[in-house]
Amino acid sequence: MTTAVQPRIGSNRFLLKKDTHEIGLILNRFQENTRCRSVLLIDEAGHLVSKHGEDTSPREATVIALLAGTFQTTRRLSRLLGAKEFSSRVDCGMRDLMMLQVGDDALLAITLGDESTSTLVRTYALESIRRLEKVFHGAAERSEESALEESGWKGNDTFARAVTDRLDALFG
Amino acid sequence: MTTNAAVSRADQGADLHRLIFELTSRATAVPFSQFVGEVTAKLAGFYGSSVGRIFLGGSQQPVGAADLHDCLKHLSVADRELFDRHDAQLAHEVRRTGRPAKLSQLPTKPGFEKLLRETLGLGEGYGLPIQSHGKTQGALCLYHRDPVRFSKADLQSLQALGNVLQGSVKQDDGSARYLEDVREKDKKMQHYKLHLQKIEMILEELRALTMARSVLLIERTAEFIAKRGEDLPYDESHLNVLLAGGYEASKRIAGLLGSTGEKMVVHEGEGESVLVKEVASRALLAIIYRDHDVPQLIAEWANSAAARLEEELAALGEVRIL
Repeated sequence: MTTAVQPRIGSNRFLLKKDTHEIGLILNRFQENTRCRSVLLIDEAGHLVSKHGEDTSPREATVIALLAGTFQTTRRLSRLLGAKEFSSRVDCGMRDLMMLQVGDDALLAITLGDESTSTLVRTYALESIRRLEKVFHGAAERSEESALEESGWKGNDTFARAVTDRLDALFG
Repeated sequence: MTTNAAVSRADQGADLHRLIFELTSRATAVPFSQFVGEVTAKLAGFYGSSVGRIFLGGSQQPVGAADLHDCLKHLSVADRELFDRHDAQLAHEVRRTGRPAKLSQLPTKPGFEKLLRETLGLGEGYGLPIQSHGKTQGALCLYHRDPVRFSKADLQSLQALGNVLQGSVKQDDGSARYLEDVREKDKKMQHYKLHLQKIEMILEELRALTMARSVLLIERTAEFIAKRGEDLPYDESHLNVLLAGGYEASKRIAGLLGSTGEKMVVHEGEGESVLVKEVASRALLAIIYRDHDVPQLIAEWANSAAARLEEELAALGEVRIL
C-alpha cells in the first residue's frame, strides 16, 4: 500500500509532486523486493516524507517522533565513535526494525517481515538510499522560484490587485 | 531498710561514696558489660557478699554477676536453675515495688531453702533498688552468710550508681547498634565487591571473545556499573546517556510495532559498531567492536553473557542498599 503524502518543504529542500512520486516508486520497489512489513521515510525534524506497507496510523505520530529521536541519538553516537555513516538495527524476534541514514538529514525506518532477511534488506536498502539521495539532491538544488514555476503555481492575481487597490484608496 | 542484725561499719557511708565515685569514673573507659561486671564485684566485695548480681530494665537475666567465694561454681544444672529462678524473683519483687526486699520474705520452691543454707552456705538474699530519675531501673541482689543492715545512705549511693548505669545502658545501646551497623555494612561491602568482581570477569571474558574495543555495563538510567577494555577518547557519560536513550526509544518503537520479545539494538558505523543488549530489565550491556568477520557470533556471546550477568546483578541488587 502506498500512501500519498503532501509535498513538504524542509531542510532547504523543495519536494514536488514528481519527487514524491519518484520516492514512492523507489520505496514501493524496495518493499516488493524485500517483503518487509513497512518502510517509512522521515526527515530529521520528525516529518513523515513517505510511507509504504502496513498501516500504523493509530500510533504513527508516536512512532515517527520516536524514530526521529532515535535518529538524532544514533547520529550523535556515530559522531562520538568517529563514523560519518551509520545504521541501527533493533533485533526483536519476528519484527526486527532497521534504521538507516539517508543523506544528512533523513532516515529510512524498515520493519522487517517474516519473509525478510536482514542482509538482503540491507543490500536493497543501500541501493534505495542511493536513489533517494539523488532525488533529495535534485530537490535541494532547486530554488524557490523554480520550484513554484515547476509546480505550476501561478498565484492569485485578482486577489493581489484587489489588495493593492484597497491600500491605494486608504493612503492615496 | 532494716535488717535482722546490725553489722555495719562506722565509715561505711563515706567508703561507699568513694567506691561509687571510683566505679563511675570507669563507666566511659571500658565496655558496658565489663563496667557492670566490675560494679557488681566491687559492691559485693564492699558489702561482704558471697554472690552479687545486678538486673537492669525488665530483664530476667542479670547484666552483671559476681561469685566471690565460688559458691555457684560447683552447682548442678538443676540447682543452678533453681537458684537463678529465685534470684530473678527477688529482683522482680524489688523492681515491682521499688523498695528493698529480702529473699526470706518471698515464697520459695521446695528444696531451695536447703540449697541456699546447706549447699551454698548462705543465710539471706537482699534485693536493693537501683533508681534513676525517680524510677526503679533495676535491682542489686546480694547474698550473705550473715545478716547485713543497709541504711538510707546505701540506697542513695545506689541511686547515683543507677544514673550512671542507666546512662551507660543508653550509650552502650547506641554504640552497639553503631558497631552492628558498621559490621553489617562491611559485610555487605564485601559481598558487593565480590559480585562486582564476578561482573568484571564476565565482561573481560566477553571482551576477549569479541575482540571488542570496550565492553560496558550501565543502568538503564545511564549510570555506570562496570567496564572492561580500553579507555575511550570521549566523555563516557555522554556515551552512556546516548546508549540508554537510544535503547529505550528503540524498544518503545519495537513495542508500538507489535514486538514483545527480547530486544537487541545494533548501531553499525563505518569502522565501529555498538551492540546494546538488555540485562535483567534493569541494565544494558554495550559492546563497542570494530569490524568483525562473524557479527552474529557477537550477538550470541552477548546473549550468553547477559544471562550470566543477570544472576550477578540480582545478587548485587540485594546488597546494594547500604
